Formats: sequence, C-alpha cells, structure tokens
Amino acid sequence: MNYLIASYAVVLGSILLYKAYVAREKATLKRSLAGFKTASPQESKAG
Amino acid sequence: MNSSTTTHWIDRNAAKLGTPSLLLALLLTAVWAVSVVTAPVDSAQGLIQKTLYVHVPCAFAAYMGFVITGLCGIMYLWKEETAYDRLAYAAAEVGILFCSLVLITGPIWARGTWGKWWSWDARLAVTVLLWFLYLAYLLLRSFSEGSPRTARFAAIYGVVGVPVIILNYFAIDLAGGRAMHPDNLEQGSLGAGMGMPFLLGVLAILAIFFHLLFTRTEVETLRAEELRTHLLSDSH
Repeated sequence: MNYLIASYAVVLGSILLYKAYVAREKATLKRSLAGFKTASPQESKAG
Repeated sequence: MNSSTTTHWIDRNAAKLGTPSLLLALLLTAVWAVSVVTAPVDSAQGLIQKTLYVHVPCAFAAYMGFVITGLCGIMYLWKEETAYDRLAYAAAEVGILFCSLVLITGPIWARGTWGKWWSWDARLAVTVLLWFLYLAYLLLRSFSEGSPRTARFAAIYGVVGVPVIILNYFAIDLAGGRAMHPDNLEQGSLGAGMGMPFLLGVLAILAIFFHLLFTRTEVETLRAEELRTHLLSDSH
C-alpha cells in the first residue's frame, strides 16, 4: 500500500512542481515583455 | 525562413489551448482517480498492481513527447520554421519529465513485486538509454545559443532518437523470454475490470501531457519574442 501511494504521490507532486515552474517562467517573461513595451515609448521620447 | 514568433499556427494554438486542456486534464484525472480506487485488486500482486495505471500511461506520454520532438525535427529541417524547433524543445522537456516518472514508478513497483528496486532487463536498460539520449538533447539546447545551426543539429539528433523509442517498445519481444518485465498489454496482461482504469489513466496522463506541452511551448514563444524585442531595441 505504501509503495502504491508513493508512486502516485511522486507522479502528482512532480507534475505539480513542473506546472508551477512553467507558470512562473511564463509570468516572468510576460512581465519582462510588458515592462519593455511600457519603457520603450518613454525611451523614444527621451531619445 | 519564417522567424515570426506570433503568427505561426503552433504559437497561436499553444496559447489558445492552455486553459481548455487544463480543464480536460482535471476532469479526466478526477474520473481516473475514482476508477483506480474502485478497480479490482489483482489476485497475484495485490494493491501494488494498481501502479500499472500510472506507470504505463507515463511511458506513453514520454513516447509521445519524444515522437513529437522527432516529427518537429523533420518539419524544422524541411520548412526551417523556428516554431517547429520550439515545439520540439518543449516536447523533449515534457517527455523527459514523464520518462523520469517511468523510471521512478517502475522501481517502486518492482520493489513491491520482485522484492528489489532494479533489474537490468532489456526494457529497463533501453528506457535508461532513452532517458539519457533526450537528457543529452536538453543539455545540448541549454548549453548552446539557440542559433539556426544548433536548431538543425538538435533536429537531426531528435530524429535519430526515434528508433530507440521503437526499440524500447519491442525490447521485451526481442529479449525472447529473458525479460523480467511483463509483456506488452496487447498480449493480454490485463485482467477483468482493469481495462477502464487503464484507458482512463492513458487519457488523463495524455491530457496532462498536452496541457504541459502547450504551456511550455508558450514559454518558448514568449522567450523568442523577448529575444527579438531586445535585438530590435539594441539595433536602434
């Protein structure tokens, strides 16, 4: 029984961890792109 | 050569299918969980046999990831569209995740039935080889700069890996009775009442696989867009 629970726990845990990692990467990149797009018009005005 | 990061059908659909695939994965996982709990207990192995419903579907998801990597490699070499390269990379990473889960759940199941964690039989050895092969693919991608030359080399590497997937599937037949691993399922390894939880397991894990693939591909698309934006700003 313990081995069975361990199998399913490892699969579920790994998938959730990977999902969290990908979601964090996506959020970071979206923030970076949004920040760049906000900064660009100001830079062009200053330039 | 199409270097667009926003208009390719792969980029458009990866962004669009993220949420629907998540909902489908959650629904299928809930139904699968109920069917695993209510599935009959195997008379020979006992409860540990229920590892089958997660171990084999994870193997199918790993195969799916590596096959997509190979197919996208062929498409990249043919069309030279970077979206295929991004999808190939994402599929290899998600494939490695599921191949790792196969290599973790397998020994846990083996410990419960054979009494030992590992045995160097044909299927296990080829699975380790497959894992190392695509891990090397990911290392190649992470240590290189993402140039077209790297993408071409990675595409060829991804295609060359596909025969190992076929070898992995037929490893037990090729071992000719010397394998400890059970036979492939079409040869009648499943008992009565075990077909439905197994099928639901395959569908749920594949739904999870595709959800992760879509979101991971979206990350690659955003990364390419970010790189393009920086290059454009540097050139001004």
